[in-house]
Amino acid sequence: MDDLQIIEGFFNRSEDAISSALDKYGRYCGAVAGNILSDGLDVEECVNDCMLRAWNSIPPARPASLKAYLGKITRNLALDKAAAASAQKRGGGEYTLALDELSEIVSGGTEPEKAMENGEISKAIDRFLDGLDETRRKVFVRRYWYLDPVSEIADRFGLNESNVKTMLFRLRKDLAGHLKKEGIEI
Amino acid sequence: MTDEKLLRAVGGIDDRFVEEADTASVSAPGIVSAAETGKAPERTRSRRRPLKIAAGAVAAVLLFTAGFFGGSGGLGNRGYSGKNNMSADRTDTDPSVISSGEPRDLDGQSYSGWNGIQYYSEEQSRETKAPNANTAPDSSGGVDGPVTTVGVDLKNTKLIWSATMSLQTTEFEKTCGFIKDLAVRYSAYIENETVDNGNGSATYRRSASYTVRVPAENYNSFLSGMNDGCYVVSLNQKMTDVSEQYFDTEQKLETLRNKHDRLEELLKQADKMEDILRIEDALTENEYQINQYQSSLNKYDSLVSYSTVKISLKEVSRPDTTIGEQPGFFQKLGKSFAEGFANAGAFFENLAYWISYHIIGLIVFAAIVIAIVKIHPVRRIKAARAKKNG
Repeated sequence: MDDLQIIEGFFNRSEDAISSALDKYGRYCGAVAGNILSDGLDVEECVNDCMLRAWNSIPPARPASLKAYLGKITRNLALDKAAAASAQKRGGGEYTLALDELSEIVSGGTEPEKAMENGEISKAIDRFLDGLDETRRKVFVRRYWYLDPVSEIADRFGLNESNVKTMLFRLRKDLAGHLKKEGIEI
Repeated sequence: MTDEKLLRAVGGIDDRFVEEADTASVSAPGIVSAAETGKAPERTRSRRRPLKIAAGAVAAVLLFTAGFFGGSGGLGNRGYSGKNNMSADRTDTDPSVISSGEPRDLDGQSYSGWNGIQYYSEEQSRETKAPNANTAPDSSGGVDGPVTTVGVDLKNTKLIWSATMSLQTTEFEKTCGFIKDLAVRYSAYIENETVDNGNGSATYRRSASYTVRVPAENYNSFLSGMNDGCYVVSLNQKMTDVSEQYFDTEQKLETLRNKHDRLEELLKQADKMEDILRIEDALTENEYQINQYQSSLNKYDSLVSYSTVKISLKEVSRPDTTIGEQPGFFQKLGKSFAEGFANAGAFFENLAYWISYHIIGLIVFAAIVIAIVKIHPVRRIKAARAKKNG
């Protein structure tokens, strides 16, 4: 079943659409959640919750890319769980590490929160990513969207870990400059 | 937390970036370092692309030629693989395959040939092989010993072996019994068994699937043993190296246990109620983590010591090919004719079933058609005219 058929299935309230989506993207969603959460049960729960949310949100939503749509839902659910776990000091894995890295960019203030509510930061990051070459863009997205460990990114792109760390350091610095230039207070 | 919100803002980036980053993109190191130094990686890549396309085209032509004239291997063998064939099995670094905390495939790009010996791509610098007795297979060569090993430190390696087999048989019940006997012989156990009895027709025959957990030291013997009782149509094998995760977890566990001992000592020395409560909290947290890691280690141990073999068995009137056969052009032509006749036989058999099932409806339908034809107005007019003229 292709993506369009799955989405049509959601529109027709066919439960087969959920199982098809789960078959096709369950492992992908599991991988997205698995990078954020360390507990296998939490990951499984996230994937199931993602399917429930997709069921509740399609319709009215009609995603252009089902894969990215499900990935985003899973990521948000996993971040919620990781934040809760972090509050309980259960450890957040790559989530905590990525947070630490990004804390270099934004140090406080209320302006970013307001801007983010309007999607301003996301749009600014889109523009920042558009200005990057393919490799650096992918490295950035793998690290801060998929929350892949540095070692895995290094393997994926045939780099050594220190190269990836240096690249990420420069990207964070560039992003901070870009956000500042776009008038987003940091 | 502002930085958390920024992380969430990254989550709102355009879908195209998310999809792009998920595409398999293991670039040559040179390309990436060019990106790192700010040079133009795209240009470097585009210069290589024509060469890659040309090389791919030449390879495709050679493969096609070999498949057409050679009579074995290549494109000519699609759906016609023999007993010793092993299907190509490629696992890339897509996150749908690998997730954090999960084992990674060492055989990132592995391909298998007619003789069943597993080949590795040039990119794969680490050659792998069947590990020692406590972790894996025991023989070498083809289905009888699929993977060979060179230069792996086996003492410090934790490998998980798994295989998927597709089998055919002309004696279904006997083969099912054979698989179970084989499992007993090699101290394996059947984790899952599903049998579909079909409907007795030529097109929907019986089939079964098994998930067998085989002690790692008997893994190859078990696979080889399959040759004696059924036709192995395809065999896909996968080896996953979990050494890094395993020893990492072991190290963390050791650290946590040391911490546990220290906390217990501190608890003995503590005299204030506040300190005691804090240390007990820390101990609870510590024990929780120890249990988590211990559970992961147990899971790895189970997967390493018992390989997983998934078997799919189908009943056929005659197998796709005979043992060890690598058919040539005329053999394949003859086989195609034979299959054509067999399929025609199956078609007529099914037609007979269909007619017998719908016989009442067909009779009623025929009666209606005949009645319509008999009482058709044009026919009656023609008959009246003929009578008048005659």
